[in-house]
Amino acid sequence: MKKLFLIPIAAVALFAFSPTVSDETTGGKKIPSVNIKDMAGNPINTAEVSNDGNPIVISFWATWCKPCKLELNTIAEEYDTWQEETGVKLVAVSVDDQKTTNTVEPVVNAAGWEYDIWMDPNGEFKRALGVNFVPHTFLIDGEGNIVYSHNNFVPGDEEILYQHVKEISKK
Amino acid sequence: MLINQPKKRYLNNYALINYSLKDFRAGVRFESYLPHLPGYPDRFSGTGIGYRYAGYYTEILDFTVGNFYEQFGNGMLFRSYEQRQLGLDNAMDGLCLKFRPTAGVEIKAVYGKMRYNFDNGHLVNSDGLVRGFDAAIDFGNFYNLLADSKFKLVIGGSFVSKYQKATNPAYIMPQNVGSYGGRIDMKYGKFFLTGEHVIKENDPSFDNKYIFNNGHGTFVTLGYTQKGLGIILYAKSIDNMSFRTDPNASLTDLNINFLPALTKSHTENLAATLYPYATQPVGEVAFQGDVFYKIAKGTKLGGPYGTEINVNFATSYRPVRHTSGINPADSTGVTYKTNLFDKSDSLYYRDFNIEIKRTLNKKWKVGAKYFHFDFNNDVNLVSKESHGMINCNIAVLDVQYKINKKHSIRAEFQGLWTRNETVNGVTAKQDKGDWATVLIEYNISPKFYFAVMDQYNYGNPIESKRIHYLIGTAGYIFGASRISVLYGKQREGIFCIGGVCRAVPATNGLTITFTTSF
Amino acid sequence: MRKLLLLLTAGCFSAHAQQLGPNVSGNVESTFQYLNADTLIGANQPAEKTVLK
Repeated sequence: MKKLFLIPIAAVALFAFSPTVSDETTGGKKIPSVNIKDMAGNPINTAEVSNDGNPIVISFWATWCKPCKLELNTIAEEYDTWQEETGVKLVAVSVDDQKTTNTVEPVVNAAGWEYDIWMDPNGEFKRALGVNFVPHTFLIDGEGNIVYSHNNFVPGDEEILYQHVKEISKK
Repeated sequence: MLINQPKKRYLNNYALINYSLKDFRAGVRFESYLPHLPGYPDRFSGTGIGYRYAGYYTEILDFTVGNFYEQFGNGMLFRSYEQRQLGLDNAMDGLCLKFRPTAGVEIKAVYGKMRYNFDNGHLVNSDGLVRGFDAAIDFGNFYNLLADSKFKLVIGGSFVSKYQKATNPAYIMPQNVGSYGGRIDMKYGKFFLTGEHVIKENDPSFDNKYIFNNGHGTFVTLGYTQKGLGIILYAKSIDNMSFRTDPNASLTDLNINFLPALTKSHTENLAATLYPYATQPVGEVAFQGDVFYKIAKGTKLGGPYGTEINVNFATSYRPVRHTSGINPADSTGVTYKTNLFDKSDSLYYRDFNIEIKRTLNKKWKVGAKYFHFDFNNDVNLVSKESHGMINCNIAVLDVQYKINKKHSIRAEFQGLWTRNETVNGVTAKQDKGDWATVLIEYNISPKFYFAVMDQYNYGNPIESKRIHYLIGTAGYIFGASRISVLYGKQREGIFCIGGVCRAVPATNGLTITFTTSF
Repeated sequence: MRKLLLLLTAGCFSAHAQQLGPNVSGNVESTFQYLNADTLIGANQPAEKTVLK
């Protein structure tokens, strides 16, 4: 049982060393480089994601995840305005495994989402970014730094995300 | 050793750390089970490193030494992955190479042993060795052959073999088991068609009762998708496709491959946990249809925000096993023959469900769902109290109200009703009878959520089992971290992800979960 | 294994020291349970898991 006490110590140590802890704006932490594919099957290197210097939202989701779809649907209602005002782009990364990967495109099209969709069927990108549960959303500034991340979604969270988008937008 | 006093405290911990510098990456995952949570593999114990890797990753070459997760095609021949909630982790330990010599071509090679156990803080791998090779060409990117075409084509092929010294004195076990398959992925405009066919050579095992038949698997998907509409049809035919690094392994241990289940992954409490369907690796012929439709916003039917409709139908049957002209006692060890999509009348599972979701205005969202299940409990054992087919209807109503910018409330009302059945002149509800579930959730964005759920087995044929399973949850979120506290009764049930299931024991007490990402 | 750990630890510090270059990511998950026996719902001494596949 002695080892039990090591766990919180280890957790605190991790916090101390890790550049990103919570909502706080941080610098330097980048998107790791992982080779995956987009929904159309084109190869994607995750580190090369760009949006002409405008902010990027990366949102991990799955077709079987209710709050994920609620988040993406909620943002979809405002997405035109968000893009006009800030130039932001949203990349939705599906972590659906082979049981449901084929439903991703129909679900996306039926919902009418205008996002970039990436496929991460075996969780490679998810692991590289340290994502434990979906939904998990990251905000990346024009220089490619992760400036905000949030785990979970409840109505209203989208407005907080958008506040952060506006803060870093150059428009 | 028999322990009479119940253990009361349980603790699972995981910490994953990835480090990268330019093209170099490495990582470790610490794990501890002090002791493991009820329902986890009983052999998991201690604190230590359960996963570690280092590698070099460029546009052309990925090279990993140590533990890795990888998948070929649909995974029917090879998939190593972690599904922590199931206590499942079949990470490879060895070498993984991915080579992309030119755009549109990817070659993968894997070599190593598979994770089996975490004993007293030490990672224990399989005795058997897995070797695999996979290649795919995407003609859309390959020398721009189909660059400007509406037609897209990807073809691929895999080879996977297992090597293990014979361990069963009763049978002459093959040391090498080879498997191979091909796949094709086509798209034309709004249509897509994908297919994979795999064959596994003779592999006598505990799962197939030590027969020497070859196994085969076929998985086909046909789809159409456009804005506001998606239609997908699935078909799957598998026989004798359980493939493990140790033929004597069982449960979710040491699976080399993954056979996707053709069912929708239900999320509603009663639909997801009482009668969930798991893939039958020994053999099944299964079909599924899925239709997504959005009635456009601004129309009379669609309302101001549109209305989403999803209809899903899934079914699975036992394959026909032809035995005429086959002597099961002869030296070949082949006991029957099966053909592709040759299904019998023996139903394993049928699931029809329909969902309608509508945003009424800025404040209100409503959803309604109906399910009908025909569930063969003899094949897919979920209830010890029941035999044969269980038929049930489920209805769900989901209402969400946004009080203001930060506060919202959500309520779910669910009912499950099983059929009345007469056995030996006594008429009673099937299995555990009828259930009602009420869930109320209160959210304060972005930091807090509170929920109360009551599952009430009001229609159990046995009066003393008409129990309320009441659970309360509270959660606190700060950025990428979350603490949740759960208190109450959890009923015994089945928990499934991707068609792989785990039995969860009944529990009564407190659960505290902390997660963070950095 | 020790070398790998050393390297990682070094990586953690250097990631902190300089803004560009090395990247550290990951996650922590802890689950604690305190359970009572409840014979009514069959929550006894939890047995070895049984998995249906």
